Amino acid sequence: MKSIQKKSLAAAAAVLMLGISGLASVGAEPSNAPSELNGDVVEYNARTGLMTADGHVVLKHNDGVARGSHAEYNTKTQDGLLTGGVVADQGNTHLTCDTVRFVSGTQFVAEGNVHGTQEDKSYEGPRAEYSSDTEYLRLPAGGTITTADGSFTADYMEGWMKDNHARGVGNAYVTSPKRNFEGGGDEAEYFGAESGKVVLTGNAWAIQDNNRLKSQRLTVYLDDQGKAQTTADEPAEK
Amino acid sequence: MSMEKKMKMMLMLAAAAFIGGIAWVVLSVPKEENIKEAADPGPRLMEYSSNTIREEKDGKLVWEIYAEQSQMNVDTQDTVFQNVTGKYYQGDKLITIKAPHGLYNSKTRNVKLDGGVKAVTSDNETLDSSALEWVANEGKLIAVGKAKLVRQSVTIMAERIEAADEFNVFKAQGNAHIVKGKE
Repeated sequence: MKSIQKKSLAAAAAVLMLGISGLASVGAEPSNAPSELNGDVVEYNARTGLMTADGHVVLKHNDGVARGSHAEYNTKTQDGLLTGGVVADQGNTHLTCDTVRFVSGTQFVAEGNVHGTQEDKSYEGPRAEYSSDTEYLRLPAGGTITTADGSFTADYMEGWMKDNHARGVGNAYVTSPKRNFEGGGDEAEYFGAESGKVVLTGNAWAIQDNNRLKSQRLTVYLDDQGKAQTTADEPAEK
Repeated sequence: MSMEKKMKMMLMLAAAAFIGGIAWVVLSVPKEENIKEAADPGPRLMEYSSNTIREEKDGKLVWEIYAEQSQMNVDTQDTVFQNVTGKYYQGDKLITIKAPHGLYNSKTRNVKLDGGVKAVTSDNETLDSSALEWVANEGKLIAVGKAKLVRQSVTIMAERIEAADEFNVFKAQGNAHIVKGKE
């Protein structure tokens, strides 16, 4: 049984959820609050419901603001697009990327050098997808989530925010230099509702201080004191 | 020669020089016919009160303009209006426009209203601006100067707003700002 400091995975899973949902509410129109689109040139087709803006584009909704060089938004379908050095802010959430696409007012896709921050948490990767109705987040090309406690990297990542559940597949790697902890495997899965359980599978390994574990499957149970109990389903190498 | 004679001689010479100078100034002024061939009679104008003009296309009324005072240039057919009420027929939509001043260009058949223009459609949409031009060959209304369009839940503000396609397609330029929902 080994001890692992809590928070590294939990905070890492939370950062994208908060950051992405913040940006989604900038572009989408989930409430009756007015949406505002500014630009050098703005066009509106009342027949199709399509609004376009070019040059110094600023999109505002609630307290969120997104900037870019070109925007499209369809008031009928609630589909939208913002391109050209996108910078979005809402509250303490800041996100930059090349392109953001909104579908039906509930689906959101950020592409190209996606970088999100919220306080001391950040995310970097090539693409992020978020569905506000199911609160499902998908990072199909993976990325790195960083918090003050450490970072979480995988080739593919997804999260279910309602369930406080996140998964990383392919070269999953969790590190917390502050706690002198590292772990990895083919897959890492975090269950926030189950005492912060983290399951590392497929060539799983974990190191903390001078303790080293290796197994096909390692389960880490986080306790309230920020420690963890680690169990190996197969005999672990030490 | 006595001093008194010398003085008289000098005064006489001075008086002769003065009279000669005046004569030169008067005689050297060119005759009027040399500098002005003919007086410009100015444009030939006809003035009307409470007049209405109309434009039709393919038998359909495109617009009609009522003005309290109209002044038409007989030669160019251009017309200047005072206190104008214009009616534009755009598909099923009627746009009623009021302005203190306007100008009809007979060559282009464009109508430009200015001095603070207010337009209201039969669907209760509004367009306010400093000036508003009907561009006949493009079928466009162009609002210029602090233009503001309110159409259902959409408000557009810009320095210039073009309205086309029977008041369904809008292009805003210059600090363009569009709001969907209550502002």
